[in-house]
Amino acid sequence: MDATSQKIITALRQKRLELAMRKGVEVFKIFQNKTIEEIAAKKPKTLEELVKIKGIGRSKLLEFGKTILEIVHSGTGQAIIQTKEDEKQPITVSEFLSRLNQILISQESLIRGEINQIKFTERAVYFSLKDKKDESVINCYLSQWKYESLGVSVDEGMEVVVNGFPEIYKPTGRLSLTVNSIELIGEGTLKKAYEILKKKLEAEGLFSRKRPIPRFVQKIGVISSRDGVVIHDFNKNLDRRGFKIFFYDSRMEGQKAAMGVISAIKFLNSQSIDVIIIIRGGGSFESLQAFNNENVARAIFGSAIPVICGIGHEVDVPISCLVSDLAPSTPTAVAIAVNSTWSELENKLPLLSEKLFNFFETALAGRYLALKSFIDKVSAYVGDFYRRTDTAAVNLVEKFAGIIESKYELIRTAEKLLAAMNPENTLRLGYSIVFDSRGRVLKNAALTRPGDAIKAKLQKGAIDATINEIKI
Amino acid sequence: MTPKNSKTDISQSLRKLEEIVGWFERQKDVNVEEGLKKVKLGAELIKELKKDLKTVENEFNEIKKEIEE
Repeated sequence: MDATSQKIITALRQKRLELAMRKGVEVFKIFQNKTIEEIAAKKPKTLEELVKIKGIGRSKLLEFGKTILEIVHSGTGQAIIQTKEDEKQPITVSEFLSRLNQILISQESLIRGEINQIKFTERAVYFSLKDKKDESVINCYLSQWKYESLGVSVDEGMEVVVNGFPEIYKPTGRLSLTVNSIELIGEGTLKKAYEILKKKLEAEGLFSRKRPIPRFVQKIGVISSRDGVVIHDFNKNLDRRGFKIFFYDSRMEGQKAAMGVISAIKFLNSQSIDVIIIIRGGGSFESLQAFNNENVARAIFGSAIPVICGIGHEVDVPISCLVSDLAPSTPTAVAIAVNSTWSELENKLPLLSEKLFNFFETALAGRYLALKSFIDKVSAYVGDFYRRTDTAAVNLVEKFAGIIESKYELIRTAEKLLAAMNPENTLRLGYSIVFDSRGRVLKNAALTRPGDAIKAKLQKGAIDATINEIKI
Repeated sequence: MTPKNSKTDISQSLRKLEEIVGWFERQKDVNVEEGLKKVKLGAELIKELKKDLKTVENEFNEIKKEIEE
C-alpha cells in the first residue's frame, strides 16, 4: 500500500471515531474497515465514484460524502469535482435534513451562555443556552450518559461554556445543539455547583468514610502533574526510607484533568501499592474544578486503596479532599503524613529494646539476689542446726545424768530401807523369833498347847523347847 | 542491601516484640530460662526492625501509560 493510501486510511479512521463518538454509536456503524480500505485504494473524486464503493449507500453518501471526498482530497491533493447532478433532482425532506446536518456537524463550537429552562429526563438533559446580552437562545441536548460522564452538576442560571455541534432533529425539524461537554465558569456558578455536589455526596455518606492509612507505607502511587513543582516538593519532603514511588502524570487543571485523575486512580488500583496520593499546588476555585468533579469524587471513594489528597486551596475544601481518607492541606503535609506511618516503629523500637533488656537485667539481678539469699539462708540454717544439735546433746546428757542420779538416790534409799527392814537386825537388839513345829512364826499364844514343840531363833543359834504352860 | 521486610512482616514483628515486653511486664517472678528464650527472640526482632528503619534512598518510577490520550 502506498503512503497516500495509508494517510487516507488513518485520516478516515480518525474521522470515523469522531463521528461515532458524536453520534454515540460503535465505529463500524459509520464505516467498516473494508469500506475505508476501498476508499483509500480507489481515491474517488466525485460522489458518483464514491457511491460505487461497497458500504456507501445513499444515506451515507448524503451524510458523509462530502467529508470523505475532502479527506481523500487532502490526502491526494486532487481536486474534488462537484457534480450538480444531485441538486437538479428533488430530494426527500429527510435527505435534505441529512445534508444540512452534514454541513452543521462541521460547526462544532465552544459557546458561552447561561443555562435556562433545564429539564432532566431519564435519557437526556434539555436546556436552553441564553446570551445574557441580547437574550438570544439556542436549545441544547445532552444525553444522560454523557452528562454522567462529565461529573458536573448543572442548574438554571449557571454560566457555562458548552462544546457541541448544531443538528436538526428530523422528527421536529428543530435545530438544537448536541452538547459534548460543559465547563462551568464564573465564581458564582462554580460555587453553586460545588454546594449542590457537596450536599449530594454528603447525604450519600461519601465524606464520612475514612479508612486508616496503612502502617509502614512502602509503595506510593502519586497522581500529579509532571510539570509542577509539587511533585518535587513531595519527593524532597519524603524521608529516605526506601519508598517506592509510582508516579502517574496527569493534567491537574482544565477539561482533561478530571478524566486524567480518574484514569490514574483506576490504573493505580490495578497495582500493588499501599496508598494513592493526589497532589496539586494551590489555585483559584476555577482552576480546581477537576477536584470538585463528581466523577473524580466517586473514583476516589471507589478506590480500594486508601487515598490521601493534598490540594492547595483557599476557603472551600475541594470535594476530592472531603471524600478522601486523609487530606492534609499541602503536598508537603502529605509527605509528612506518609513519613509518619513509620513513626510508630521509630518511637516504639528504642523504648521496647530498652524495656526488654531492663526487664531481663532486673530479672537476672532479682534471681541473683534470690539465690544469694537462699544460700545465706541455707548456711544460716545449717549453722543453726549444728548449734541446736549441740544444745540438745548437752540437754540429753544432762537429763540422763539427772535420771541416773535420781535412780541412784532411790537405790541408796531402798538399800537403806532394806537394811532397816532386815529382821536379823531385830535379833541383834535381843529379840527372838519363835516358830511352831511346822516352821510358822508364832504370834499368838492361844494357838498353842502345852507339850507342843517350838523352836526359838536367836541372834546366834536356836533353841528347841517344849511348852509347859500357856498364859493368855 | 538486604531487602526490607514487607509491611505485614513489620507489623507482626512489632506485635511480637510488644508481646514479649508485655510478658516481662506481667511476670512477678521471671523464670530465667523462659526469660532468656524470650530475650533472644526479642533481640532478633529488634535487629530485623532496626534494619527497616535504615536510611535508604527512595525509588521514583514514572508509569508508562500504554494508552495515550
